[in-house]
Amino acid sequence: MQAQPREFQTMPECPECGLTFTRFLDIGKFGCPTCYDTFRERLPRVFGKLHNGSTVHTGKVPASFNEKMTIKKKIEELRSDMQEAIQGEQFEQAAVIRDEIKDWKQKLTIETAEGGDGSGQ
Amino acid sequence: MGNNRYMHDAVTGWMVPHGEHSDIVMSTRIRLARNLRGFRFPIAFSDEQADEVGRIVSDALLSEGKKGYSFTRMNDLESLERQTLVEKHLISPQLAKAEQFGAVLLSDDETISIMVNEEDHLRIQCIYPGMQLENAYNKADETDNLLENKLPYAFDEQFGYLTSCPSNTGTGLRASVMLHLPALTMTRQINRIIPAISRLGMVVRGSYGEGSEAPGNVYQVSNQLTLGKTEKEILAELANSVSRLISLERKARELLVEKSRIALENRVFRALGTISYARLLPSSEAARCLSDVRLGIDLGLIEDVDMNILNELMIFMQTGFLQHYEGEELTSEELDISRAKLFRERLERRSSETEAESDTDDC
Repeated sequence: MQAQPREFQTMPECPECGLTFTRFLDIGKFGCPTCYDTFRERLPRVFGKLHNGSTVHTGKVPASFNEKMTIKKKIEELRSDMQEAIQGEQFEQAAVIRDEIKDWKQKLTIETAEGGDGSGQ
Repeated sequence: MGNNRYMHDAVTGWMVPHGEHSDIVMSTRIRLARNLRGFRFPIAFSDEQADEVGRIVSDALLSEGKKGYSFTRMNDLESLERQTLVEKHLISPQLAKAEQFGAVLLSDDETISIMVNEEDHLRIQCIYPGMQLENAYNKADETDNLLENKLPYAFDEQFGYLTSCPSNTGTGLRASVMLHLPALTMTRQINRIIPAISRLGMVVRGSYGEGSEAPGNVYQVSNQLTLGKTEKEILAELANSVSRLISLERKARELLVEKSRIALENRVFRALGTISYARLLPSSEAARCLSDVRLGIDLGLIEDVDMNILNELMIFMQTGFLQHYEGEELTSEELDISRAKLFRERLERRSSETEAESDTDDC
């Protein structure tokens, strides 16, 4: 299949399962979890129609995912703390926070590895 | 062990009348759709991936030493056995068709069934008798938590649980309640009510789900929306619609008794006569008569028929069970003969039992 460059740009193809957006609209089913990433920008319109205007999940979150989210938030917080410390020229304090961020980041990579982030095998 | 047990007992947990409104609400079902990261959905996966999903899922539940579940592959079952599982609502018709890679993890008490490689990698289903949305959801949620610890669920911060069909994305939750609505059907009010309920984001359809009719006046009411609401909100909204339906059905029943008692009595006793004495009983007629007799019992018009027998017949009268019972494939006429015989035998036993009882009372 020789995709014309222009069409290719408007028609992203899922790298995991090869589904195109037009084909998705055609069959009304995704081919794999990665499709959601591939078509992310176009999906709110699809979901809006199906779910009475809603486009964002507000229900249950898996516990493991929750932990990841908490760590990410923690890192964000520490980053802004570190910026503040640097602004206030408290460099020792900033170094301590930097190390703490490093620890959290390590935890995050372990979490993600355990989750087996196999989306793109 | 348990592989063949579900063939023997027709009556499974969800069919035993339970709780308030048990005269109208027959059962409650919760279904959670879940998928695994790194695998294509069943619509697009390779044979190897399909196999691996089956293995990972069964390992997740069974390796834990988690007792009380049995794992059955669809291709280990005869088509008749698969059909009986569908007729008991333990698996979906779609899973029964997934001969090659479909499988089911069934709890011993048959309240939880985890379908593997149906439209999604996992469909966790919990069926309880009567109106028990919260209990059934909690049970399914508990099972989901257990599996989540072991399996790499496909979950997205924005879209929630990722499913093959966009109509399930988000919570992946489909909650359904089975309702027996003979009076609303008889008075044709149901035709007006169904569109009104669907405007509230609910779907009303026949008891076997998508596209099926409502044999025996049993309707399934379920939530349509899965994204943008919490599980709690979804259950509360469904409970709301169900209780409106219940009160409408009650009002319609009262009115029927009040305005046309004789016609109603005539109808329910004729139905009882038909299922007690027919020699040829097509399934549509059997379903209609069962509904009438059930209504007769609910309204206190018929007193000597046990509701449990009706529940059992509702399952046994289906073609998969009848053929299993007779031990061979049957033509459609043979099915009608076999069904009529089954009804006669079950209902005759009933009357001889009650006679025996009244005899002793007299002494």
